[in-house]
Amino acid sequence: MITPMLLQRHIMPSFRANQAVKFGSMTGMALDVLGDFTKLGTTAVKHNQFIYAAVILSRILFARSPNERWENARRDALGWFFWFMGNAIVKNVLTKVVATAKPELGEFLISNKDLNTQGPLKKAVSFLFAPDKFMGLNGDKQIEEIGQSLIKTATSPQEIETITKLVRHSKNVVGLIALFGLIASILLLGVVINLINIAMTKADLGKRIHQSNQQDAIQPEQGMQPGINPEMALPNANPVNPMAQYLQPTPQQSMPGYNYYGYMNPMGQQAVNPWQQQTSNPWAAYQAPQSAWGQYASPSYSGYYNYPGYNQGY
Amino acid sequence: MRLNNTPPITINRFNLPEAEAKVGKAIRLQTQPIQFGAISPGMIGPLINVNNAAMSTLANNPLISLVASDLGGMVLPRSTIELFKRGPDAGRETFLREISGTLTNTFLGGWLGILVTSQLAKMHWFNPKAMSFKAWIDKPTMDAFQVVAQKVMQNAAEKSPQTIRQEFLDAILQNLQSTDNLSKTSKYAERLNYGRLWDRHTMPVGAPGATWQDLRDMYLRPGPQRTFHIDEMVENRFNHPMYLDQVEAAKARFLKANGLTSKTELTAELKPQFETAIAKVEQLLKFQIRRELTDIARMPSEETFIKGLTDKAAKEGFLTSEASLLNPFEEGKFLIGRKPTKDILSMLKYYMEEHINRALTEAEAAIKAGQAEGNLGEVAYKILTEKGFIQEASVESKFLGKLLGSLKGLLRPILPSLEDGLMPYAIKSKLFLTIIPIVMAGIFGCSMVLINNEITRRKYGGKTFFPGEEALRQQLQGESQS
Repeated sequence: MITPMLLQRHIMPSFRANQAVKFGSMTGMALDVLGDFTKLGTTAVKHNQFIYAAVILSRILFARSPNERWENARRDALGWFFWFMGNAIVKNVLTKVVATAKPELGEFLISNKDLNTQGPLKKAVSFLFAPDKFMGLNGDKQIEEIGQSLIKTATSPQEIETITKLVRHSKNVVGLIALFGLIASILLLGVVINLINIAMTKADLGKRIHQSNQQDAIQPEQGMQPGINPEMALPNANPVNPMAQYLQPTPQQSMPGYNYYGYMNPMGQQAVNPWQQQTSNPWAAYQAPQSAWGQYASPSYSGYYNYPGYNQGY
Repeated sequence: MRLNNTPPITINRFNLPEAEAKVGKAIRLQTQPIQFGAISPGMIGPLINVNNAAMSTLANNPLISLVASDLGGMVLPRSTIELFKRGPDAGRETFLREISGTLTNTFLGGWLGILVTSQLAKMHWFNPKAMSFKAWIDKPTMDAFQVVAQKVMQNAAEKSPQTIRQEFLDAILQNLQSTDNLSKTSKYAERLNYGRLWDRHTMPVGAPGATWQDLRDMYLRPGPQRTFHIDEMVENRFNHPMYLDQVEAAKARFLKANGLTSKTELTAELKPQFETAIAKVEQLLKFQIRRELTDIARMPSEETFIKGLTDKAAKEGFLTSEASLLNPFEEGKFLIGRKPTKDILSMLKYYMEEHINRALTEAEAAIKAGQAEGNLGEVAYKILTEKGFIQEASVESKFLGKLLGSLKGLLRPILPSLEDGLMPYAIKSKLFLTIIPIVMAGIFGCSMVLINNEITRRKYGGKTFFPGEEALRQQLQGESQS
């Protein structure tokens, strides 16, 4: 079946095919991708999707550590999908279940699908940009209007009663399904994804610390000085348990970004214990020279690599 | 509970004798309004009603729905979880990130769109045709209307403007169809008139009737609120002494600047310059008049008129709140897949005002002036769609003229111009008015990431780190200690 868009291109010389007005390919593509506001002042869902996608990319690009980058990718990519489509999918599945179980209600609940979408590509695009329309479900307002129209032409009180009941049931089902969809989206977007993120970041950090412990445990057997490097060991290193210095940080050591393995400055000189060299900026000793924006461009300049495990060989 | 302002429905208003004849006995009249509330008794009934009302609001307002799921599903739970699980820094970052996301993703593009449009629409260099962008028609709908306009206008038969308008409206209104499935089932199709705008009193069922004619008449009824004759009104108003005085003043200024008086005859060299200068002044004045008239005409009655159309379509015809537009010229094909009926009807009004009526008025004038040949419909269709069909003097603003002059070559294919047909002009304008705000909103959203990072960095004396991860590291340290 030829879609209206194809119809227009093949049969009707539309203004885009018009010889007198030529839009360049970029203009035409921009029109198709971004289109326009459905109404002035109301961004269409595809605009929301486009803006959110741009924001997600920037969050991933400017992440300050690999774990933040992964958290953004998981949270926002899933958030994008479920925010725009999750509710529609849940509604569609539940409505189809109800329609199968109660066909008489299904007549009120299901509507024509978006008839402008024929062919797999158009179906995919339609699902992506307008899942609600693609699914083909009647809204509660539409059900009400159908009900009123049927009642207008009812021929008996019994029929009025039956139709009224069906419409009421249908509207209640639509309302409850929408509520369920909303709750499911909220739980998934707000709680589940967040908890998964926290758990995965925690697991990653735990794994790194565990690996660090194992590495430190092996080194004494090889006849090496406990610790990563004797030069880097903090002055209060415990010869019995070399990890003690790391596991019992001073209050200052627990400040963000503090390298509790000790610090080797870029010139390879002897490590400095920053807590014995307090200045007005306690971080100054750790900061590599960097431009104003350089810190965002690459995590290699950020304090992230002063974290355990990122510049210590594991 | 009354929903959607539905008035009381009584069956005694409709088809009673016919219905009684069918069942063979007298029918008890239903005189009470039918209300589709919850059917559950006790406490659950009111709860279901509240839920239905809330979900209906969300379903019928996509932006509210997005904001509700964003606030409820992202901002509040995520900020709370981060605050309690990973500390105040992570909580603050999350709150700022999510709340700025709500603003950017849902509202900012639209707000910037209104701002950009309100400014650009007033600027003659951008909007030389003084088209009203309040009359916004989305591109798929415009494409669909163009298909119908072409069939109606590109016709060998000579038609009057009113006939063309009627035929165009008929083709659209008769082919609107409700998207619900029920009106297509054998059980209900006839009773619901196949979900069409056809009047139910019309016999046989399924033929166009009075309702669509009423609707068509509502569109065609002349009056300032319809702005059908706005181009004639521009000409009439231009003849007011207030505007003619301004033209005279411009003439005097030109003569004075060239060291002449009104009694001096212009040289052959100066005459074309003089005419061009005065034509520019007249065009600018007409631009202003048209803009003022369209704005005045739309304001008071816009919503009432569109609501009247929609109510009539739903209550007297059999359209529901969502409709498709069948292709009037090809069986089984659709021109508009699925759209709110109110939007289709209001865009039809805007299309009549800004495209069909303007094209017809300009075509009549062009034929009278000998600028165009052919029948009215064909000329009007060319004005509607083609570029450079009727050449008009180009006017540039004093301030932006030079800048635009240098950019003209670059922007020419995408900037709306006087030479464009009405529809390409509208499409080009809309491209600008959409993409600029959307890109601006995207840039704002992206910059919020940097702002959020910078706040944390400054708080910790220039150290760049991810607070959520740092908090977890500290937790792990604590666990190891214990």
